[in-house]
Amino acid sequence: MKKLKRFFGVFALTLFLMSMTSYDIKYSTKKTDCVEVAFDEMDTWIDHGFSVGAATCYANAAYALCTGSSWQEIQDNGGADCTDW
Amino acid sequence: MKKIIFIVFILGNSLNTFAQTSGKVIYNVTIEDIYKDKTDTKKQIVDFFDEVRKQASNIKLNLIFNKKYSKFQAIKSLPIEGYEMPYGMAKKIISDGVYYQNKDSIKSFRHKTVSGENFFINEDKEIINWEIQKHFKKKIGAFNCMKAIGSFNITNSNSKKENKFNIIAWFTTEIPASYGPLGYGFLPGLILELKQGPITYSFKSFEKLDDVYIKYPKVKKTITSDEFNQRYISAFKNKF
Repeated sequence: MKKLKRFFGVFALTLFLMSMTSYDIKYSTKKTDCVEVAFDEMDTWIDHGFSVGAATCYANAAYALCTGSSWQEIQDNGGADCTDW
Repeated sequence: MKKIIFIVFILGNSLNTFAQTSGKVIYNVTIEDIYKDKTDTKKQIVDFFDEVRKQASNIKLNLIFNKKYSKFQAIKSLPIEGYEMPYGMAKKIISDGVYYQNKDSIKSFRHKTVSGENFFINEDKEIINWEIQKHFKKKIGAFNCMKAIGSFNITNSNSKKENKFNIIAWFTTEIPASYGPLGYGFLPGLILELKQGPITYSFKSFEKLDDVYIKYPKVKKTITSDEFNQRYISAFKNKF
């Protein structure tokens, strides 16, 4: 009985650690993807002739939109960072 | 006697036209959909841009000018409640600062205040070689306009990619003032419509004024576009 308890204990711990690791990988991948999206959006805007100030402002919003927030949620949380450097 | 009256009348009209060296023009603005060919963009980003474009249509821009100077900027207005973010973004796109032109020194620059510091950005808009296309004419409001095409190179300060833009200006010699939106001008008449990339500034109204006072800033030092833009890029990169 003790052996069985230990087995399940180790099994549960392993499962927990696995899920944490997978969460970390998933989260960091998503974050990295969104950084790429932000830079891509910034370049798109600059290449269309918008000012760099406007482009970085929109890129900050694009990053937040990419991570799953709606623009209304971003706005409610203080808006995208559009400060001039 | 009739002839004399007629000549005086014509002369009077001509002088009146040439005297239109001060005034105020209001422009509307539209932004084209830059994502229509970029189909891999996330839907949330495209939807937000649509909202920014909608808000841009609520913003008006003002060009005031006199014999020596012009000043162009967005008219201060309040956003619709609940749309502050797309409105602010739209304003940043269509006029990110105040644009001045000096007719005598044939110079134009953008003025921006960042953290209390004044920046006078030299965007080289006065060196554009305009090609006036006399055979292209259209009427804008009550004014007969001619088309001019110029090109402008902008280097992407992040990717270093060189982009060439065609600038299309519709100007009228009936208002002999060589100014226009965004510091563009130095043509034989006032620009009433201007297209720069996806943004079009179109004429809404003109008011002739006897004199307009423009507080032209004392520019001690200018900064190049690239130097100014690099500061944004560095700050942006440091965030991630």
